[in-house]
Amino acid sequence: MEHSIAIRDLTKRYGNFTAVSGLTLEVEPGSICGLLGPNGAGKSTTFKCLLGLARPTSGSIAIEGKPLTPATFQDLAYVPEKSALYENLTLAEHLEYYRRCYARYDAARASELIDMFKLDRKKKVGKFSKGQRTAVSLILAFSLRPRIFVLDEPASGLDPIFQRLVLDLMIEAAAGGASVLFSSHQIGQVERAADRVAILKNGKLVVDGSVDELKTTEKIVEAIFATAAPDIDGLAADPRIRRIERSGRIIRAYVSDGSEAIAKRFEEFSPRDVSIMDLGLEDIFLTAVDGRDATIPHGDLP
Amino acid sequence: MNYIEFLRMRRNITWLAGVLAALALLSMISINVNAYKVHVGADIGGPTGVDVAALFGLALGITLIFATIVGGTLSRENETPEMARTKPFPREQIAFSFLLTDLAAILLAFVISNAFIFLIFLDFCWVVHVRASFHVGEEAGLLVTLGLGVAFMWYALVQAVSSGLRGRGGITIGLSWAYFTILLGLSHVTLFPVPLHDLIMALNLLNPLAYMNSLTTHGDTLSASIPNSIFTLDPWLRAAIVWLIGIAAGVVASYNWKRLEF
Repeated sequence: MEHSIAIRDLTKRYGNFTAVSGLTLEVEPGSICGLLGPNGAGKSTTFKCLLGLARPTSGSIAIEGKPLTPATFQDLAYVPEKSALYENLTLAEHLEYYRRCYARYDAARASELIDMFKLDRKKKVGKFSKGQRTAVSLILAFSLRPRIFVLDEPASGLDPIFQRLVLDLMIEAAAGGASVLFSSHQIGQVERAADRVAILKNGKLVVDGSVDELKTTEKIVEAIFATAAPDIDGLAADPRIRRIERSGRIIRAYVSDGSEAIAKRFEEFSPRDVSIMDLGLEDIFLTAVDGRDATIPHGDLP
Repeated sequence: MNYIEFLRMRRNITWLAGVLAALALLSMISINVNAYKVHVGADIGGPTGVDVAALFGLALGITLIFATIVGGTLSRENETPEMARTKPFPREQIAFSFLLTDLAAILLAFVISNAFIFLIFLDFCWVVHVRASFHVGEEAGLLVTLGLGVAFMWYALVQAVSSGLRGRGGITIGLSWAYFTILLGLSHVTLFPVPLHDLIMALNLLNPLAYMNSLTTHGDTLSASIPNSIFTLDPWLRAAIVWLIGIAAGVVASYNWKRLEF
């Protein structure tokens, strides 16, 4: 099956600064991929390269198996993180602009979405709130009925009701066969909508997998000792351990795979108790973007 | 025609028409109030009538100002690259559609300016009870071709410089006025050594003002004369040069705009 989006070994440098390094990511038709990462991780740069707003230093990008061309944009809708609307124009004028540009523009769908977001067509975009501007961008994108959505923080500034609506729109689009690549700082949104998650850190892909798969493999192994936690340097070097937290008598290891094996290795240090706990997506994210080792002050852990 | 640029130019033209209407109204009030002080003959413009080219000259001045003001439009699009550059059209085509829309607006600004100038002139004739007859002088075609060419060249040079910048079109427009005026002034200074004077003259090749640095009219007959230039070239050749430089600058502007990265 042809990937909707295929990013291969993408690197983007600005002078000496590497914004994205060797990123490989694929999005399948009918799927939703959530791109996570702290600020400056390279998410927006990835989107810019994907849309041809920035030229990759190396690597390749293919949309439905072909390099990006102007015609690609007939089937690709983009919602940027910051509003890129014309502040002096009304919503109606934006809709007219899109009607003239896109063959697949659906006026009925646009009207339906305007009613959903309760916006005034005659109002200038500059007079809308931040959330309403995001809604305008979403209306424009979803009224095109494209095969591919690239959404950078699509729920930014929206209230919880409309955030849920955006997720529903994405899920509905994917159910109809469209592919969605979106970024968000709200992990709950990603957990709810995405069937696949990619986490970037310092421009590099550090986690990539389906949400269910990650929840199955990513675990916390917690060891409680009778006295102060021993030195476990040898264990900490295990590549399956993403991060270790120490607090008094407790050591927590965030493992990407093989939690049973790691628990057995903890047994070698004679703990009072060892347990394996499930990780939520938020824990997986924090583990992936935080350092490998962290010492939590006493009292921070229960 | 680019719809976004069409809306922008429609707004600019509306503003221009509003300002000119206000100025025309003030002028007509002033003419009516001071009509008793004016003493003119039974007709105006002499036996052949008023050379319309003389009135065109005023309109060209207004058009030139309008053309430079709208010169930063591609730069403005760089403030919202995600909107302008993710459309299903080649980017050079988008840039050219902006330039063509702006050129149409510049021509329309010339027509509107003429309309108001003729309105004021006819009001004057009516108030002071004189006949006004018109004729199209020999230089009218040249004056309009050269004048609009100078306006377009200035516009296109501003676009060429600012299209690769992010939202600094306004500064470029302001600096262009200072740069072109000073450069033209320097070309008249005779104290400079020859190499420096030659350099100034070379730089003036890309100065629209250098191709038409004054519009003279004969006040008694209101007929237009060939505009002056620091270059001793045939006026029609000057007109061809300014249009060619304008077109070349438009191509450069499109290329700069297309290749800009974000």
